[in-house]
Formats: sequence, structure tokens, C-alpha cells
Amino acid sequence: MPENPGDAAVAPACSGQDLVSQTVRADRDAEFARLVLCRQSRMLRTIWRVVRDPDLAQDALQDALVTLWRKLPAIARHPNPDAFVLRVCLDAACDQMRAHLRRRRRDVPLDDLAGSNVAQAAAQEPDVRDEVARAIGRLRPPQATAILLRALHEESYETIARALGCSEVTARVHVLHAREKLRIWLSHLHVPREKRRPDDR
Amino acid sequence: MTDRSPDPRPDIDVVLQTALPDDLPPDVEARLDDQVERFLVNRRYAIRGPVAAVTGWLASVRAYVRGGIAARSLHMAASAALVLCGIALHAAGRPGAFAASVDRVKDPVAVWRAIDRAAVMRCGGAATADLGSPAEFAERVYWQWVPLGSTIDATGTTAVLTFRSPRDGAQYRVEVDRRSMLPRRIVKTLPRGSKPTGGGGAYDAVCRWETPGPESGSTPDRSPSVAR
Repeated sequence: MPENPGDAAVAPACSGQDLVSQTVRADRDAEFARLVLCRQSRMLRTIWRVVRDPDLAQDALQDALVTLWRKLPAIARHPNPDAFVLRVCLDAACDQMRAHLRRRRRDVPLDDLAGSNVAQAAAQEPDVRDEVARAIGRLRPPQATAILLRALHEESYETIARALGCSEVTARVHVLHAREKLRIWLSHLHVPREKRRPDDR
Repeated sequence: MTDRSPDPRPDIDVVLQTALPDDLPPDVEARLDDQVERFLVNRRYAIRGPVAAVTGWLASVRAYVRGGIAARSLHMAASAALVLCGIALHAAGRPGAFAASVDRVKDPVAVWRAIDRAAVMRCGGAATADLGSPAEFAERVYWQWVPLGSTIDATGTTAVLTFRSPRDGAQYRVEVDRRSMLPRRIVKTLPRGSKPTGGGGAYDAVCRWETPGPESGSTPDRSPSVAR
């Protein structure tokens, strides 16, 4: 809290990049609350799109909030705080997704592996969402974040680069590699290259 | 090497968009909103008090003390004290106390957010000059005014929140519509013997609000658009 509240800068709420910088002298809690509340809806949706499970979403959100709190000074200096917040949310969501997949792999009972459940499961319609989530979980973290920023949020390569803290060329390479891997792993889910529209690249 | 094409919509991006749609269910959204609120409240109110202050100091001491036998002893002592403080914090932070602190600020948080989202505020009398824009008013409700208490009226439709302004000691009685969480009436009283400052004197004002349309959703995302 500022020493004299009357002198505190009354920041227009959610006013973009100045949002963080203009309250540097104000209470850190206030700064953090503004940072989160102004981006809350996008943060929640970003996390949900990856984890698609209420409990995992809560865990990922908690991780993201803790990370944002810890990195608040860095966010204040960041050239694109929105991209950074988005990246933190995606990282947290992907981490939760990976941990969940690991737990699930570990928890498969031996009986199920040997018994008829496997065959039964294989006979069922494959869960596309699950497969996609698993494939994203297999990507290297920067690749996963880059492809999700590009494919789901349609962010520019410049924004992706700023979010990841790398050059634009590196961001493009991350997206390119992620696409190549996902095309292989999810080859049965998407339209084969030869059947694509001519304007697709 | 790098993909410098216009990149219209590569097939795999379409697969990702289709498989991971933007369809956050309202009940999950409410749950997550609540979690964010709790986190903010927790940050602001729960990690306070003398034990917490000592814990913070010990943690910083522990972090800086490195190397040497004496320093290592100090480090160990700080660690032990830190553990004791942790136990004390757990003991002191009874669930009831924490729940009370959450309840105490839950309404101000909701009011703050509602005001912050409002487009236009029209309050009668001296209130407009005193409270300023919705953003300024929201700022005061949450960050400057001290919440003293909140009650719900007999009809259950109005919450009455009382605040004290540390700046001039004025007390604000804010009647809030519990559905929209926007103030309907604001009564400002000055402490006895005090003279009106720049904010003006006491008043009793009725407020009307204009909020963004329903199409903006229950939790509008007012993040600035990111340069593409």
C-alpha cells in the first residue's frame, strides 16, 4: 500500500502494458491482482483448452498463479506481459497434462494389460482429444508452448518469440518441428498432405 | 529451413483447434474464478501477522547465510526456527480464522470487479466528485478503503458493506445489489469534528450504472489485443 493512498496512481484498469509498469511504486499485491484479474478469463480458457479436466485445471491454475507471483518483477520488465502470462499458463497446463499422463501410465493395473480390457479399449472409438493431449505432452516444452500459441491463439511469431524469450527464427523452428512431430503422431487424425487444399502449407 | 510462408491454416493446426476447442464450462469457470479470488485474498490477508513476518525474516536470513562453520550453524538455527514458525503459523491459522478473512474481503473483491467492469457510473450529489471514475472508485474499494464489515438486508437482495477511508477517516456505507454487485447507494459520513477535505463532505447518493452488454460474457477479458 502506498504511504499516502491519496497520491497513489489510479491506474486505468487493464490498460495494457503500462498496467504493470505504472504501478511499480504501488503495493506488489495490487500489481499482481491487476495483472491476474485483467487477464483472468483468457488464462482460465487457455488452461482449460489444454487440460480439459476440472481438477487438472485447478492444479495448473494454482501453478500458474504461483509462477506469476514469483516472476512479477520480470513481468513488469517484459516487453509483452500478455504473451508471458499466456506462456506461463500454457507451461503450467502442459506440465499438469504430462504429469497426469505419467500417473495414468503408472497406474494401469497389470490385469488390465494382460486381460481383455486392452482389446476392449482398442476396439472403442479413439478419444481424439486424449490423443492430441498426449501428443502435445510428448513435445519438448518450448515446442508445445509455441505450437499452442500459434495454433490455438493464432499469435504472431514475434509474440511467440517474446513469450518464449527467444528469437523469431527460433520460434518459427519450434512451431515447425512441433507441427512435423504432431503430423507423424496424429497422422491418422488429420487430412493427409496430398488431400489438402492447395493454399495450405 | 524456417517456415516463412503466410501460413494460412496448416492441417495440424486445424486438428488442434478442433480437438481442443474453447469451451470452458460455466461451472468450471466459476470454480476457477473462485480459486483466483481465494489466491488473491490469501496473498493479501492470510500471509500477514507477526509470526508470518518473523518467518519471512528467517527465510531471508537462511537464504543469505552460506559457507563457513559459524554461518552453517546460523543457517541450521534459522532452519529450525523456520520449522517452528511453520508449525506456529499452522496452529494460528485456524480454518475458521482464514475463512473469516476470506469472507471479510470476498464482497469487496466482488464489488471491485463489478465496478471495474462497469462502463459508466452516475451518482448523485457530491459522490461523483468524491469517487471519480469507475476505475478510481474500484481502486479505492479494494486497495485503499479498509473493509469493516458486510451484512445482507432482510430481502436478501442487497448487501451492505462498510468501509473506512484511512486518508480522512471517513466511513462509507455502500449498499450493493447482490446480483450485479454494483453499488446502489453510497452514504459517506465524516468522523466527528473533522473538516471536509478535497474529497468533499458527507453525502448520501444513489448510483446508477451502465455495464457492457451481455455479449461480453460474465467475465469479460479486457486484456489488450496483442500485436499480431
